[in-house]
Amino acid sequence: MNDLIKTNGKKSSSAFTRIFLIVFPIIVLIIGLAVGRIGIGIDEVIVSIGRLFSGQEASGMNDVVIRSMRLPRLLLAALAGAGLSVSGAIFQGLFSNPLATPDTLGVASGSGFGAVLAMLIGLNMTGIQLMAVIFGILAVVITALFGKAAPEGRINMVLAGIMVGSLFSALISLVKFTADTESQLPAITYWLLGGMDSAGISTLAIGAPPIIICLIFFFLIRYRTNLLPLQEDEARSMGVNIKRLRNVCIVGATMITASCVSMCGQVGWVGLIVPHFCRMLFGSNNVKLIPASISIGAGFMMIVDTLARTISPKEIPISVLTAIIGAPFFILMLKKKGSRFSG
Amino acid sequence: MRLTVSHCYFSYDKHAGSLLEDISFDLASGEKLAVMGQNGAGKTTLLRCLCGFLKWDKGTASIDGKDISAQSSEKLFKILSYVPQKRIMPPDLSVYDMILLGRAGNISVFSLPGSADKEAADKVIERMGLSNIAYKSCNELSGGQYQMVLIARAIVNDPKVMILDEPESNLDYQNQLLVLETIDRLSKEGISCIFNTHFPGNAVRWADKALMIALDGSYVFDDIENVITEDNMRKYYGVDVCIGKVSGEFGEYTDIIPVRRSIIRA
Repeated sequence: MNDLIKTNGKKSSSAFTRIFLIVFPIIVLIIGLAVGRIGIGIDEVIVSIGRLFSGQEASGMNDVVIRSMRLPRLLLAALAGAGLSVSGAIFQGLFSNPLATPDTLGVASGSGFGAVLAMLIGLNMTGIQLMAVIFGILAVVITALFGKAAPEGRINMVLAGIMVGSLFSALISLVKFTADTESQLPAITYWLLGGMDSAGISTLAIGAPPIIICLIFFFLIRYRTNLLPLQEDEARSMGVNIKRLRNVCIVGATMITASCVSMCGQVGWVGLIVPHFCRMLFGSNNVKLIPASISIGAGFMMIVDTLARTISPKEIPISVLTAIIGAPFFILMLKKKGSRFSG
Repeated sequence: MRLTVSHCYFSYDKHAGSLLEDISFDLASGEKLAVMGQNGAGKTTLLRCLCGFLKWDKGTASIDGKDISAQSSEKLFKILSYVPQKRIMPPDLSVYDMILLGRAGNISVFSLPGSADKEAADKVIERMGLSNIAYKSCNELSGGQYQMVLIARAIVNDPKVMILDEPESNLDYQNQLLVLETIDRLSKEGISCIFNTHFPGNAVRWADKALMIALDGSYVFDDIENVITEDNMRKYYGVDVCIGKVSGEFGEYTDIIPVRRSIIRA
């Protein structure tokens, strides 16, 4: 029995895994910085990043393109990808339901409604974010209350989530109906499609900290989050204050989702497929699953965003792409995983 | 070790009268107590009260003189452990990880399990003979295997009392025996075991004492052979039974056959 196998029952060398998880998003980032309408060589990208880190002024077009356009955008994509994936993994544990994600629990719609409402009233970025968080938590609480009726009825939670989701979608439509067709409606509609084009230093300055803080937090408490799928009594008998843990995790996961939604709109599927893909590779122990979701989620989203802005002359909305990639991938996973597909 | 329950009351609805009324009993080290009664009599409720998941309305339950409900869960669950009823779908953790989770209360929020925790888990896996399935996912196990994992997790902190909620329900004969033999072995190693069961035959063979609860809240507590009688079965279960010795190649055992529902109900 060697120590590597012990931690999750899969015979993957943990040193190799660790290196891969660190290197993967970095490679994707560098490629993402290089690709685009203006092609930049990998070597030039590395030189340019070197200049950025050593605090030198931007010189030449490459620096400008990388610093003001591609880097913030890719960073936002990485954060949103990592954030949505981790909040998906946490929600799956919280509701001990493999189908629980920010989308299926109605959190994304709730946050979306909060954000859209804030836009309608004309609030600034901070206001949008705050409203997104408030309505996101409201949505998850409603879902939890209705879904709780049958403790073992996993499908109930998802049905409640779908109900809450469609309720908030209807409210979003109501807001769109009320919105000014000249100025507000196009902005809201375009924003709802999702995209990383809002990325700029100012957006990131407000939206990134909550995501980063929650990600660090979930990374640190990752062992304890293994208790989330247990029944209430069972978890308490491990000698842990499970109610507090659950509440903190609900707020954290919702905050991540809401911050992502307020920055890049409703980007679906990521919270479902990335954690499940990681479960297949690394097992369901959160000691590995959380870091893996951060890394793979960030890399995945950067790839998708790079595709979104390069495969066609006009940028493709990112939610369209995640759904096109996500749905077939998910069906493939369902077939492959069969009976093991569970929280 | 001595577990003492004295004059305890519990009700879910204060106006509807008590579900558990004036319950008193005590249990010594290594004794096995079977909690029996009809569906809805309050067996699981009693176990949940003993674990401190529910608060008694009146009365105290204590281990070695220390009130159970007054202790923090961190402290309490080092001496007392709880084995929940099996769920349909266990989490997708390996057996090893699941057992290690029993140490979660000893591991601070921001840390990972240390070498002492891993050693404890290794030891329990040895002790319970689970080495061959240690790296299997819990949701690939049979019901009996998963029950053994839950018991293993419950003894990872060397508790003095173990409380099991219907440990042998929904299992075939082989696995029932495996689970009951394990409970018996652990009790011989000094752990007091309290389990509720729907099988009077299992209680008679494996328990030292029994607590039988009726729907109206009355109960009887005594040595097992004094509790499982034709009169008590009629009074507490509402069934007429035949109790007799069955003998065969492997010895003589007591069995209980439910014959018919009693005409006079309690």
